[in-house]
Amino acid sequence: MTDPDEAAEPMPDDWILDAVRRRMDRAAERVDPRPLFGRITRTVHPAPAVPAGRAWPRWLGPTLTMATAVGLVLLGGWFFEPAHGHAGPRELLAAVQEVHRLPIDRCYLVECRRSPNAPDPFPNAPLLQTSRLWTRGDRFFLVPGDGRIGRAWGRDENGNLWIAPTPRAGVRVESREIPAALATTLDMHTLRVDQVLGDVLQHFDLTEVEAADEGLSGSETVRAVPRRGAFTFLRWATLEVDRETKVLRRLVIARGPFGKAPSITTYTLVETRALETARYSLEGHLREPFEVYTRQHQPERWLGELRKMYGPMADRWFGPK
Amino acid sequence: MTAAKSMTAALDAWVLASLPRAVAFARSLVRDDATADDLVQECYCKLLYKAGEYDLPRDGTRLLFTALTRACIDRSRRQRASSLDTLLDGDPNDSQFGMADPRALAPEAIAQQNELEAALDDALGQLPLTQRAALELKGLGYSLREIAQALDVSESNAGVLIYRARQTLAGRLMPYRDEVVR
Repeated sequence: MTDPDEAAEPMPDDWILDAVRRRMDRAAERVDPRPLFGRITRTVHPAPAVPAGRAWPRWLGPTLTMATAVGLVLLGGWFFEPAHGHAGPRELLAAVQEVHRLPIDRCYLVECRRSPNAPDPFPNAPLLQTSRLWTRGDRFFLVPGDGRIGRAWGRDENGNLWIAPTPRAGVRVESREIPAALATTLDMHTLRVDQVLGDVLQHFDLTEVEAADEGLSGSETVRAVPRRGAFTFLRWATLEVDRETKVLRRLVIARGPFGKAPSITTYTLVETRALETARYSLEGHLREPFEVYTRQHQPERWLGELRKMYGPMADRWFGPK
Repeated sequence: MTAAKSMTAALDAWVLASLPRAVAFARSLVRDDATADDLVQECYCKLLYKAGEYDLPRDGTRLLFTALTRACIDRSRRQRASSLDTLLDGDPNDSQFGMADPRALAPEAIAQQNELEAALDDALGQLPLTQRAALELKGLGYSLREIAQALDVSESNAGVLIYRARQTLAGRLMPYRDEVVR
């Protein structure tokens, strides 16, 4: 790496470079590469996809609104009864669903590899995006995982969508103003474990798989494949569950319409702790003095910020009626 | 073993071998372990997605450190632009640069070494990010041309950054010079 000419040149303060080099060596010695190596390989080589080609009425997709999905979750209890031949994984996931209905704060590292062919209402998002997602029941918020600041966004306890582009200004969209297409997309881009599991329990065939080499110890892994004729955004899913606590440790989901390359999203549980309730609200991400834009207050700035987030679709969804 | 498996094994070996130093470098620049790990992961993934275009086992580390340097600097600039004071939260991981095996040294030597480590951490932490990156890349053995490419500056500018960083550190660490050169 070093140019020969440069190497021959005397360095008057080589001891400084020596100190920096030794410090770097010691820091590198302390790094256990295995966890990050696992994250990288799972992102680059996600769990193998299952054969596609199942009939999927595409028109049903956009109509699957958040409310409908919640309804499916409520109806999901019908399917808790162990299915013939798949009693183990089905019971396991039902237990996981119950655990995740508890109002406990969990943080997942979200690694989303978006399909370049799939339509996406987040036109400015890179193909590979890393975020940290905090969830508590049906509330959530996302903060960028690569150090970007000011792009926190989430959904509060009232179902309102909020965006905090800077600590001094925020955007609030009331739940009744969220169009169905966006509501569905929000569900696709975030993780409501109870909802995902409801969908999986209802529409998927489940198989328990042997713990892979890279799997976490003390966990059970379930592979989920949609049943023939099932309407769902999920193409396949792999769920890794803590054997003792029944907490979902890792979830890999392939989403998107059949016939196109799916978006692969990996959720890895990284933290569980009590979080201030305010963190799930817009105000919890702002600092005084701040201003909150709504359709009624500063509507032009409100729409401007939504355009930054959703691109041209913002005008269709939130423009003047 | 098929060619594809062989390539995968070679790439895995490259990632495993280069990962510790990449993580240490990123953590030193951004001073936040979680953020650094995310940046490292993103840079590796971007390279691995283009594994067919490069000879990563041969050139990957240079490409990786170029991408990583830029990612860390971009992240820092975005953070400054956001007017957040997250960067001022202090340095939560100063202790991570302690000795790898403290038992190898006598207690007084450990104390001296820790003092040097702390002073070096402090001095590096107060350098502008580009100077810190330039100096650490230099410490990793990169040429001036490679450092200039990573920082997207001219070679003469890269040389100036390294010179200034070394001057600053030399002034701050002079009391420890004997320990370093020993």
